[in-house]
Amino acid sequence: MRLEAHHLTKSYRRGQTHFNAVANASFSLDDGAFVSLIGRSGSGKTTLLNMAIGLLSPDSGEILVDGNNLFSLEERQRSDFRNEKIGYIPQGRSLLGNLTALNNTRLPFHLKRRSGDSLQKARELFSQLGISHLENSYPMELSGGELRRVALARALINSPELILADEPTSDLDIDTAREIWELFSRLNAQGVAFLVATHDVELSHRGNAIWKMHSGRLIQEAG
Amino acid sequence: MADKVFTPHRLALQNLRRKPYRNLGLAALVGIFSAVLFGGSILNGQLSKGLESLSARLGADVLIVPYGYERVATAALLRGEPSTYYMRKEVLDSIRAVPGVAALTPQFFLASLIDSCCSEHVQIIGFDPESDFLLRPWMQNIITRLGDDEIVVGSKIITSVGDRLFFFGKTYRVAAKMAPTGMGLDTSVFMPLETLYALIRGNPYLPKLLENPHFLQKLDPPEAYISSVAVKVDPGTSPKAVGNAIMLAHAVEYNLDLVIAENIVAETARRLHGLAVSVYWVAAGIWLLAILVISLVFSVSASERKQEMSLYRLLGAQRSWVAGLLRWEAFSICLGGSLAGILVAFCVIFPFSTLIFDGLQLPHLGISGGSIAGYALLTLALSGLSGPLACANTVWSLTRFDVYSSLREAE
Ligand SMILES: Nc1ncnc2c1ncn2[C@@H]1O[C@H](COP(=O)(O)OP(=O)(O)OP(=O)(O)O)[C@@H](O)[C@H]1O
Ligand SMILES: [Mg+2]
Repeated sequence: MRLEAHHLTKSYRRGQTHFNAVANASFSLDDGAFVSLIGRSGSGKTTLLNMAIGLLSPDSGEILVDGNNLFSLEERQRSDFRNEKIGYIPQGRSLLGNLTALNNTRLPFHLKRRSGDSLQKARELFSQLGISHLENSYPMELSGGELRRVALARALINSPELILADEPTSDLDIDTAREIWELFSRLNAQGVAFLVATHDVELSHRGNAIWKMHSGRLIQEAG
Repeated sequence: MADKVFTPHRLALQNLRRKPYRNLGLAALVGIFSAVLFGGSILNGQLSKGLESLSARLGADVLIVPYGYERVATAALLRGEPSTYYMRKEVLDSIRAVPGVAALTPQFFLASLIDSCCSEHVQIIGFDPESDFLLRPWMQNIITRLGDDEIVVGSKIITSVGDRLFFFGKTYRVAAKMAPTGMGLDTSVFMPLETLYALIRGNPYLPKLLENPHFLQKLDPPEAYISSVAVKVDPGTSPKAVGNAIMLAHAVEYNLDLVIAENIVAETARRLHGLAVSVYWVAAGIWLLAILVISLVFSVSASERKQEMSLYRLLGAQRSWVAGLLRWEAFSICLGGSLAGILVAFCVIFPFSTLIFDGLQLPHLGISGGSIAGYALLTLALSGLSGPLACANTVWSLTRFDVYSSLREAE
């Protein structure tokens, strides 16, 4: 899958003035990419990611998925795109408190009619991510690192081609953060593309490209 | 849980478990609606059948009773309240002579304790096998063949054909048992007039008992007395006119009163209708209230749950999926509440139906299992429907809220 963005701009009002949360950003992501998106708080990372998955419509510019304009698709097709092609790890806590870790992971599988066994798949992912012992724990019983792994398992359940992670390690200690990035690298080696937004400059070097955001502008440099 | 199938329905149930008390409260509201509708429908069904039976079995057009006993006679007819009142038998010939009278038959009432079967007094009804037209329609063969010590019992007398019943010192064989009528006949015992007169003559205490000032009568000899005369009028003649003619000619002489059968049926139908209307109005009111309350609670909680709803969408759920989830939640509440309400109504109505109908003082008959199932299904359907109706506005607001900004609000 090839995900391209052309001249994305999104502006918001703050008081009397308009400002661009994302300004004229263009990029393209191919199969197997592993890109770190760094930038200070408020630089527009989350806004960019949300436009990339068709959740937030840009004021101008377009997103192309294998050459098709995401925003000229129907709403239900955009939902299917998110469900089938993308694994998304949102910023902050994003697990449902009344479901076990395992069922949180299975949820995206069941948002569409599918054949197959989500349970087996979720268990495989749990063992792959080293959290098999947490299957029946509830989110409030889990640590930040464990929550991130469960969210990663959830992002992987539908075998996406691209995973977007929004500051997946911002509230973790450095060792745990490294382990998470380690998992990203391993999965990337298995063919999953990654776009990871982060504050952490050191960890960002684990990707094979670093994109920088600054006041809504996207600057790409080779990794 | 982990090994069970993961469906939106299951997810809905899990979501409901987050606010158990609130949701139980909502379910209780639907339960009350269901209990009122289901219970009310069953009562109404039983009363309607009672009314049908009443109009079909009131073989007489006019009932002549002693003065002052009109209400007592009505109560005896509808509910089998044992009653004792007498007038002289000559009245029969006088009434027969009134123009418009096509047929008439006397009955003799006696209240008695039958130790072996009933804890309360039952009405013993003596009838005239030759002229009878009240009982004949549904026990024609038996009536003319009853022996000296044979009786027929109403459906609610706890005994079977062939059993022996003992009262006033004599034993009688139960020759037949009537089908339920929903009226006073069900708690009565029937025997030919001659058998009843013989009973009174043969019992040393009974004539004394009947001299009791309460009865104001000394039945000596008993065969000179009857309790009521059932009159059939000529076809095309108004029962009311004939009744009035009888009153005009003989009321003073014999001290008479009359009951017009049509009026009983009409009065019963009127009360029944009033009851049904109020039951259904109350049910409709609770239904609307339930929908309103559930709808309010859902729309309030939807704004609390914006982040959760947005997460589903973020993970790729269609709007219709999220709407379906909400509908399942509302539907489950309503269905659960309704089932509980129906069960409660069922458990209250059947054991206590005698009590309820005694309070209502209307004729009633049991209804078929099929109709009960029908009422239950109707109740379930209306309750089930209230779920989607109640969350309609929340579902509609879902189509408008902005997933992205509600996710941001949560951060
Ligand atoms: N819905 C909105 N309304 C108004 N302003 C917004 C909205 N969404 C984002 N912004 C603004 O746009 C800018 C970019 O926000 P964004 O969340 O993309 O930053 P970020 O790089 O993800 O920051 P962080 O690292 O803290 O998550 C911020 O200044 C934010 O205040
Ligand atoms: Mg952000």
